[in-house]
Amino acid sequence: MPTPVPYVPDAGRYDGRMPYRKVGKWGLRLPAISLGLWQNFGDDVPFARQEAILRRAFDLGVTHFDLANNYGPLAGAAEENFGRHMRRTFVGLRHQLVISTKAGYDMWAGPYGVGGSRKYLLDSLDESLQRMGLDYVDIFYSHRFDPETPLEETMGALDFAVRSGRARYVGISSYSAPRTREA
Amino acid sequence: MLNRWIEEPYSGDDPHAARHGGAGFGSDSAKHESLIDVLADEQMGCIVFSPLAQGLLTDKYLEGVPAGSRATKSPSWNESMLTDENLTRVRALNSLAAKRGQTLAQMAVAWVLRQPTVTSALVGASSVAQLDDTVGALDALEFDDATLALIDRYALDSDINIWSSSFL
Repeated sequence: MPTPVPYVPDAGRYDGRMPYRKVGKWGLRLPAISLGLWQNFGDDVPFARQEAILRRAFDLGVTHFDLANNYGPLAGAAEENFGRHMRRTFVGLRHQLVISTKAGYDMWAGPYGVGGSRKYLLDSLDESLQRMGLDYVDIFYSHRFDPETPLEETMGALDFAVRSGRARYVGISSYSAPRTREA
Repeated sequence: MLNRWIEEPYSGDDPHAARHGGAGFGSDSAKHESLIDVLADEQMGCIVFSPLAQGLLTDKYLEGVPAGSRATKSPSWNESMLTDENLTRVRALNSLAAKRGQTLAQMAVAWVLRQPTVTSALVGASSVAQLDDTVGALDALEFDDATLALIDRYALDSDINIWSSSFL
């Protein structure tokens, strides 16, 4: 781990350079451009380059960083690395960030490491929080619809994630139009 | 631009509803709505992932596959993305972007954001320079109708949605 280089965010980052758009009718606003950590934040990319990208993003007004439990490589590595970036770069800035994660694709061996069950979603969220060193995420997603699990169970798990303080908002990813309507 | 499934009417079967006794949909018409219409109607937001089609909608692949690009190393990259047909579309879109004074990546992001239902375009970055280029999209977000019509000639769903098997 390289020695931390102090980071002072660009004071002009909220000067209008980045529009913030409402998430539908809800109160939350997101930057028009958000940074996804699916690629480039695993253990295969130098930590210093990751750090430079995250710092530049925040300076440009990108307040939303999107992760998932399985982002890497290896699975979980992007969240672990992001946790280190939080402690090095975004100290004292947690409340200026919208951090999301997801569960749905294969994460760990056995019947509880994939899908849309309450068991998998909530266990995975707890692990994600631990990897990132966070008390809560801002958005927790069901990463894909699971035809083997009743939608009520998946939605109930998302609801519980909010009520238990683990997430501020929840969402769904890659659900079809009718499934989205139903959810 | 090469993945337009969120705008297309849902055409899939509904095995889930059958399995759960037909419960689920309020009406048959819901079956034929597009995702973007449902989101607008429910006043939900939408974060569009992969607006650059994993880098296909950049100037990266116009002259072949460069070393170190995602096409050379990522398991998520699908061979079928770099067909002659797709590259022809990408080159045409690249010319349209140039006429707007944008890179293709910038036009692709701006184009995704043209829909008010879309809250945010979710992009990746492998370098600070790449991020700077993408965020430069914000300098020109407006499209005139003529340009949108031209874009529609080339921005056709190209069957490159690597997540389609999850799309139930």
